Amino acid sequence: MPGKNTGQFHYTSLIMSEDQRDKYIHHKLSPEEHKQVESSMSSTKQDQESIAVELGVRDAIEEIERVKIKATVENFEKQGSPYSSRPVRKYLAIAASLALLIMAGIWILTPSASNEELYLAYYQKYPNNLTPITRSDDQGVDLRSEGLKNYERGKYTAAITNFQDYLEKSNDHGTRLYLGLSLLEAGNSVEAVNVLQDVVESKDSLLLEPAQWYLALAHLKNNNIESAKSGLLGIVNEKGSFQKKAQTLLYQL
Amino acid sequence: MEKVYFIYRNEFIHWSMNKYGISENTALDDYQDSITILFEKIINGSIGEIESSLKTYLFGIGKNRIRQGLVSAERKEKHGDNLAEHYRFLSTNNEANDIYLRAKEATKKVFETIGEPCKTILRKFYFEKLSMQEIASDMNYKNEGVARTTKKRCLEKIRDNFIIPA
Repeated sequence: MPGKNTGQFHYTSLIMSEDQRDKYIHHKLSPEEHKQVESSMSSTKQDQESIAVELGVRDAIEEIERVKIKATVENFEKQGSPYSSRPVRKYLAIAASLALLIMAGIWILTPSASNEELYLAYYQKYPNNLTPITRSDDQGVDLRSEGLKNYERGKYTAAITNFQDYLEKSNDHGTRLYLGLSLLEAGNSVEAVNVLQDVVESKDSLLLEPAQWYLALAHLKNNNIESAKSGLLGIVNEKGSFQKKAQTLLYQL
Repeated sequence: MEKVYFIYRNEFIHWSMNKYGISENTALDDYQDSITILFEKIINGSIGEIESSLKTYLFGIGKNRIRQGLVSAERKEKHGDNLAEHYRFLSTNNEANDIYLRAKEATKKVFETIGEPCKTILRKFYFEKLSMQEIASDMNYKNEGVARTTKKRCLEKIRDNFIIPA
């Protein structure tokens, strides 16, 4: 091991491919491969040192994130169940739920899980990724911005009205996506299908992936399983960022 | 997620109290620990291949936790044992183990304030266990190589916060 911090720290292994190294850190190698790497690494100080650093970083981040999850779980308990007659501080409960929405959901449920359960397990609120429009001479821009603010705050009925008013004068697919998402959040999954379908058909490359994913979820909510499957299959084939979730959900249907 | 928490809560508590004779408070602690582990496993994809139901899986975690009588501090210890078991070079090489501990400590200190994109990329790689290709796609990097270089720079940022002993 080097005695002090001098110069570049090496994260490139002398004995492993980058992929193999990543899998080693993730503890995803087969037992044989794992042993092989360990034994060959014993003669390579550079690898030992850099992997020791990465394992330290990994375990620290795991602990930090585990504490956050535990806090969220404990918070659920403090708020009480919104699904019973116990008193609920709704906004805090929503905040706790939002904290968990960061969780990417590879969710395994029993094959007999209801469509509603699957929908609840896979649905996560999509963040506001729209670029703000800054034209000051366009009154419609305010409606759009207001709609996005309402969407972020969970005021979906207001957001729907804002987006619908804005779309009367403008054919903006980004706004249409958030109209569809707001409808879904407000429980109007039938209308959400129509709106999200329009966004998918626009083939806007920046909006296509979320539109396809939420359209499939809307079909699932409506118990329209064949359409949900067909949408999910498209997502899996296109290999976008929703691929993994789509694949797992497809397996469950 | 919140709904899932409450779907299984009462059943788990009654089941564990009846089956293992533990108090309601202990049962609740075990449930919260178990569901924390479950959520963590969902995030990092490590239950992706399990074909049992979510409930069976959750109760399986709970059963182990209750049997082992683990509490928070003991879990850390156990985690350490697993680490030593899986990464033998750390248990056989004091220098490597020292570096591991220093890196861990430094990360705990700086992670929340390290800034973006480091916080996200490190979280995705080390906690969610995403591949660099998946990270590149999620974070809109041009390719895997760019993501890898970014991660490397982020590790260097952490590395600047501790000293390797002479």
